[in-house]
Amino acid sequence: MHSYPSQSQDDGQNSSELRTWRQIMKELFIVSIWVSCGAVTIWGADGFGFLSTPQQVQSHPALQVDFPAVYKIWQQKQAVFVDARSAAHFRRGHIPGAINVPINRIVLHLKDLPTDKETPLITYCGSIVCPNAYQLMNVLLGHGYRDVRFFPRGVRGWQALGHPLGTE
Amino acid sequence: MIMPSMLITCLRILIGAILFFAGISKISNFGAFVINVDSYQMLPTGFVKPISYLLVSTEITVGTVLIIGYFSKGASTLAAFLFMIFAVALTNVVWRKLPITDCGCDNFLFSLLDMLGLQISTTVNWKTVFMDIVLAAVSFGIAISSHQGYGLESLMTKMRESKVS
Repeated sequence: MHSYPSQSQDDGQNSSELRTWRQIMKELFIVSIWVSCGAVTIWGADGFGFLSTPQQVQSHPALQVDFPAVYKIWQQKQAVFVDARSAAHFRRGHIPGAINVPINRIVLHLKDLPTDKETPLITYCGSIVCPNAYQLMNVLLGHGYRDVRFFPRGVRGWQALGHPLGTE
Repeated sequence: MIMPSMLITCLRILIGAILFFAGISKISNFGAFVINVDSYQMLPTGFVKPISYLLVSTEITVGTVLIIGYFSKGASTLAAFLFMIFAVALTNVVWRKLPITDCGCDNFLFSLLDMLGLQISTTVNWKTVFMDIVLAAVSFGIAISSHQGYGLESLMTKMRESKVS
């Protein structure tokens, strides 16, 4: 014998589902207001200059190093190149002599960097649209390295000018 | 029912921690995050910054609310939306073969798996898209679950009930 849910059971289930959805919508509305307030706060903080913005970075040319200076630095081994990409990308091809410090594994790879904090470092990643070189530069500056710059064109830019890539 | 409530609580705190720490790491390096959002090439230049503010604020607010367990149904629905947006953005990168080497989605879960010796690549690929879809499904599951879980909300309900009785 099958027992079918009665009309009142169906109604009870429907009203409980309706209550859940009503609760979700009400909470969603309240949390959205909090999120909007948070966004306005962050906007204000950015407006007052409490947050770093890309414009500030771009207007500070001392933090960047580009062609032809970067190639000269590499040839004369005046700086250590630090690759911010993943290990897999690094293995596929990198600026010869570079050290791999993936941006998401920095803590694990800090030991690979020179212990002398005065050593000039140049960070780079995939291409001009990749933000990791800049991000890694900031982190390394935070770890006490005094002479860190980033090479915005990255591996693509290096390759485009016909410079060799290492795969060791 | 202790077991489902415990499970809901653990999942809610995990999702909350993922979002909260991701938001904190983004706001601490906001400039890089704005460049990252721009590199996805999905938004007109004028919208990049406002959307970045909104994303960071959503991550921190929703993360905090989920960790403490207050208005968790609304917050987890919002978290599900957020993960779906990330999944769509990453699908766009994979589909259009954009030269983005890192998804910028390194988070608490990745660090946790790292500590357990399971390293996950943050390279943009279908796996990262799938991971975001799974996180969206879990978040939505928390929202529609009939179990409340343990948190500030359940504590306040219990205190209200004890006052009445």
